[in-house]
Amino acid sequence: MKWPVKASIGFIAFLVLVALFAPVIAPYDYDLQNVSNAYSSPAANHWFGTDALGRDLLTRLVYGCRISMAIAFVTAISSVAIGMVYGAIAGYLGGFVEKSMMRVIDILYTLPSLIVMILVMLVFGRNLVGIFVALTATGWLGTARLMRAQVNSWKNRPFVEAARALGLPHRNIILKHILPNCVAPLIVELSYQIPTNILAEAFLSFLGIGIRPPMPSWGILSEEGWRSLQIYPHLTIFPGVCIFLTMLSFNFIGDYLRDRLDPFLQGR
Amino acid sequence: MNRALSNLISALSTLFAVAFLTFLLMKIVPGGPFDGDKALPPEVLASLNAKFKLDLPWYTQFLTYMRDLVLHLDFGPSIKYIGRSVGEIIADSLPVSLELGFYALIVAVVSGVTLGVMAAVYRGKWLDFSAMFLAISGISLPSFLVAALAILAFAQYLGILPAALWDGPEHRVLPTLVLGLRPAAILARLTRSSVLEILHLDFVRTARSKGLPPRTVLFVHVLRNAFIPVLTVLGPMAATVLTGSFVIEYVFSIPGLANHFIQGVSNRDYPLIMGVTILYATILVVCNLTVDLLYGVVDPRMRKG
Repeated sequence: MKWPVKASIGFIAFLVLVALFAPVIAPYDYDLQNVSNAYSSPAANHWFGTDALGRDLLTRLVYGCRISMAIAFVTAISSVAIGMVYGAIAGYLGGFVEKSMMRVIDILYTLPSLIVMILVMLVFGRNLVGIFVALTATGWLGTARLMRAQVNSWKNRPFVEAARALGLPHRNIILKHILPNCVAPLIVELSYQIPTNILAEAFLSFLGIGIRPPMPSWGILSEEGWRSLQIYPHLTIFPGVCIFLTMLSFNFIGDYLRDRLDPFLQGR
Repeated sequence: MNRALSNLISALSTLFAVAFLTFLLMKIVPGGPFDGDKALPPEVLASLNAKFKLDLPWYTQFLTYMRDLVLHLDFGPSIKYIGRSVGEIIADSLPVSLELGFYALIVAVVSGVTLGVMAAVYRGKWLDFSAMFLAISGISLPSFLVAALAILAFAQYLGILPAALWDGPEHRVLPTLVLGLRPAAILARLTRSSVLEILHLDFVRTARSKGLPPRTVLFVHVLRNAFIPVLTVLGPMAATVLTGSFVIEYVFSIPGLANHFIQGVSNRDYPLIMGVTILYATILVVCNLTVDLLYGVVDPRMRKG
């Protein structure tokens, strides 16, 4: 394992701890305003400075970590789970069912994902439920395609045929004989889905269509900072760098897992 | 020919389904375009709804819309931009997005493919490592952070490029580079792995053992084959880049299509949202069809069947 991967795992572990223990770590309350100390530059009592309302940026970044990571993890898991079930059913049943199920995926792929997210946010509201549905609705398509291809490549192998000949029900064949062989690519998919969702949440919030303040996510913090970019650049740059480092770490881990878990890519 | 025809039919049915889905989604969204701060008198509301045909049953609305769109290429009137049609708004803003996207795509393809090929050729050397580190960073950087740093450096500190708007050529530079960065990084990674895969194949060994110069082997034998997977992602990538990026247009205040779409969303301007979504989907479908045709040019094996 190369050092960037080790560093990435360390960094993500650190972020998970920060997210879990946010109230303990944060030096202030995330919504504590102190207008007389607005736009403070980084200093001893406010390491990362303060925002337009004098709120401590470090505190808000810590809580932002919690929100951004929670959204990314939960939506990544749910998208991969939905895609897995859908793709497995399509791949296993085959024939007309598979064709029509994959046609649906093709059509949904033609809808620009950001547009779908925005429309879904309008339907469900700019809250955690809305962002959850929006990111899941666009995230599962890739996994479904992947899973279908995987199941297709496994379902006619001799050991699956043997299971079928023994009269095992379809559900058991899928769960016990096919699924365990598809775990590796699914893990890789999951490790790429998380950074994708962190970025998507940040974009939605940045455009003013994500979850609503005062709940801080890294996207919201960037958006709030953007209004005063040319005077107080640290308010945009610190949250932006948080997103960047997190994405970088997940991408390093994802690449590592892909190279390790996919035998066809070994040595590339 | 048969294949092209069936592709075209499936593309058209996809677009119809996209239009229908978008329409349904907008019907589910709570709130209408006329829920302003003050409530309108009921008779005014009724006449507004009648004017924009919002009083008809939803399936009639959809069928009328599709009829006008297919027969007259008419996207209907905008609800919030009074007196302007969605078609006019698109005609004004689409060229801006296309121009920006075109520049960004060129930057992305040229720099991404070059970087990827160089990384593959110098595999394991420092050039490979730095190129791939650059690429993974490019994928991980949120575009607003790149935009922020670019604006601070070139507009504020050096003062040589404007921070926003879309007037002269100098306004094109920063948005193009910021928009092109991520696709360039994706292409660099893909090109590298694709070239590496081809380099191991038998026909490359044959070409080398014939005593061909390495340059000929690379450009004639390797790149042509390595370009096929790159072409596959180029279709959807071109569609996303060409239609402009929401964040880039927002950040640089560029009067493109994405900015109008965001306006349309916050105004509940249904015809505008419909129009832009259908347009985006059409561009994506066209890009995919083009790529499908290009396969045949790059790889003669795919011309039949």
